[in-house]
Parts: sequence; structure tokens; C-alpha cells
Amino acid sequence: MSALGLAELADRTLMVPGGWSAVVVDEARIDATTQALEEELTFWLEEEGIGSVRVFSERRPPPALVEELVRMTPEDVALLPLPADIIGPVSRSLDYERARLAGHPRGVILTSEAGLQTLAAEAPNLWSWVGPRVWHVDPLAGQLDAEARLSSLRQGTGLTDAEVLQRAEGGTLAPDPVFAEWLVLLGRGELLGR
Amino acid sequence: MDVDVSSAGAERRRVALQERLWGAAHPTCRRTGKNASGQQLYREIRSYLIKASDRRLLLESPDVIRKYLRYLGPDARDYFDIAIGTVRNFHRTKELPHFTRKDGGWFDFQLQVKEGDGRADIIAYDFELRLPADSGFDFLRFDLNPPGHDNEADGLRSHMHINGDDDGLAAPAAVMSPFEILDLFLHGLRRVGRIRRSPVTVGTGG
Repeated sequence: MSALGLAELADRTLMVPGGWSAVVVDEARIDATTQALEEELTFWLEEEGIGSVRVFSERRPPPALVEELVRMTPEDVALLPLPADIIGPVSRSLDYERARLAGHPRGVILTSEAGLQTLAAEAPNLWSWVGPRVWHVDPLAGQLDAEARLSSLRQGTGLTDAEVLQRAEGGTLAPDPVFAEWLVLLGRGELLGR
Repeated sequence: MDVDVSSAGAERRRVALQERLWGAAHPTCRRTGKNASGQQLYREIRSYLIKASDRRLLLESPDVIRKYLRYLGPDARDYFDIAIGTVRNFHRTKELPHFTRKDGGWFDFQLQVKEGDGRADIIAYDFELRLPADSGFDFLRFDLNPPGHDNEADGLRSHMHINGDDDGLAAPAAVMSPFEILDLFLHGLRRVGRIRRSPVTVGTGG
């Protein structure tokens, strides 16, 4: 299974109108990942000017969920955060009603490893729709490694963090973009302009 | 008009000029509303670069763009950093991550954003383009310094360097949005074979 950053995850989700996929995360991170993916997808859909994202986080009877899904278009995205304890009945219902779901929104099921096993076992037809589109999330994708960056600033200037902080606190630090980044990486951005 | 030609007079005018430049800064540099966040700006810059890749204006693929373009934050004090690659490129080392335009010109950048109170202000940036041989100069950099602690510093807050890193060779520059600078890097700053001549040289065929 591939580990993808949120941007790539959104990109792949949007490649297939009406397509289904599964995102595997720890149970404790399902809600946070859903929210982050919603923001990423919303950005791209607004850029393209077509479709919208809807999160189905509130528990509802599975038939009611299907009724809401079939009102969405293939350009929309339905995010379904489904922890392992509820994925069974929901996925069985989606599996049973799958013919009605065809031609409707892209569906992204966010669940845990255990939830994924349930999905495969309880909803074999829906599982075949998902096929190879099962992804892990790389939570660090796109993030700057602050310590490595700071190390390159120290090497590039021959200064230490302490010297930079001392100059900033004393009002003698050159107002240079390099030092702006340095102070931000040290978590001392408030010293800028002193 | 009694113009003070002393260095003190020049400094006052430099500071006044910078105040005007900041006053005319692109709204992206001082955002308010729902898009006022470093993360939103990061996404927009990434989207711009990926679209440029799709149009073959950049040689790097979308995957490489996603890999190179990095962010950190916002931190506990609401500062946000955007950079290309992990290592800051102090010595114009082509082996470090950068973006490349069709003619071989290549560039990188970093910028810092301060969020809070419904605002997102770009507080500093530097965008540097290195040009192919025979372009007339080797590099051009647009710097927006963080706010300074004195007039001398504030008199050069937004400036550009052409082929020289020495602050004494910097000239004032507009406070641009990241997209205005990237527009310039992708669509401008290259020889087009058209050279403007003075009327005298045109008239004499010179």
C-alpha cells in the first residue's frame, strides 16, 4: 500500500469522477485526517470551479446515507470517516445499494487497518470498486524539517542559534530574509523588527 | 523646491519610498478573510507551480514540485514558513532543489507569513532567478526584508539585487505577491531579441 501526502491523495481522488477509494489511518487520526483532506479537496475543487466536498461524520441509518449519496454528482466528493466499530453495517448497506451509487460522487472511506479488513469481508462488491485505490497517509509529506533547515542556516552563515537570538534581542540583527526564517524556525518570530 | 541632497535627506526619501511601496503592496501580501492563512498561500503556490508544469513552463513534474515545496507551521506564535527543499541554497548550488524553466533558468524562494486576528501578512521573502549564459546578467533576487529596527534598515525593506549580493548594490523594488514574481520568472526576464535604441542611434542607423 502506498503512503501519500494529502495533496497527492486529493489529486488521485479527483482523477476518477465517481470513483471509490480507501484511506487507512490510525483510529485516533481518522477525524483529523478527514478534516485535512476536506480542506485539500475543497481547495482543488474551488480551483476547478466544479463539484463540492461533503463529510458524512454524523452517524445516520445506512439507508439514509445512501439516499444522501445518490443526490450528489460524480464531480462531488463524499468523505466517509468509518471507524472499525461502525464500518460493518454501513459498508454492507453501501454494498447492497451499489447499483444506485454508480454515477454518483467519488467516495473516500477513511478507516483503520481493522476497518479495512471488515470492508473487504463485509462488502466484497464495493471492495472491488476500491480495488488498488487503498492508500496510507504520510503525515509528514510536504513538511519542512526544521532542524535540518536550521543546520543549513548555521552552516551557510557561520552563526549559532544563540548568536542570532542575542542579536535579535539586542536589536542588532540585520533585517535579512535569512534571519526572518531563522527566527521563525526557532519559534521566536516575535523578535522580528526589534 | 529646496531638496536636501545630503545622505540624511536621501535616507528620508528612501524610507518614504518604502512606505509608499508597502502601501501599494499586492493584497496577497496582507490578506484578510477566509483565505488568510499560510497553508492557503502554500496550496496556491503549489497549485501555480503544478499548473506551470502542466503547461511545460517548468521542467519539474508535479510529483517533484510536491516534494520540493515545503512548509512548516503555523507555530505557537502563528508564524508560517514556505521554502524550496530542506537546505537553504546560499551558494547557488544547482544540485540543490530548485525549479527550472524551459531555457534553463532556475530559481528558488522562501517566504514567511505571520497569521493572527483574521490576517495573514507576508513579512519576508526572497525569490532568486539564475539565468542561462549570455542573458546579460547571472542572477536577480527580490528581497522583502522583515521590518527593521532603524531608518537605514527600513529604507531598503523591499529591494532587488542584480548580479551582486552586496547591499550597497540593491535597488528599491515593488512589494509583489509570490505570483507576480513567479510570473516574471516564468514569462519575463529573458532575451527576446528586441533592443530599444535612442532616436539618435535609430536615425543614424546605429
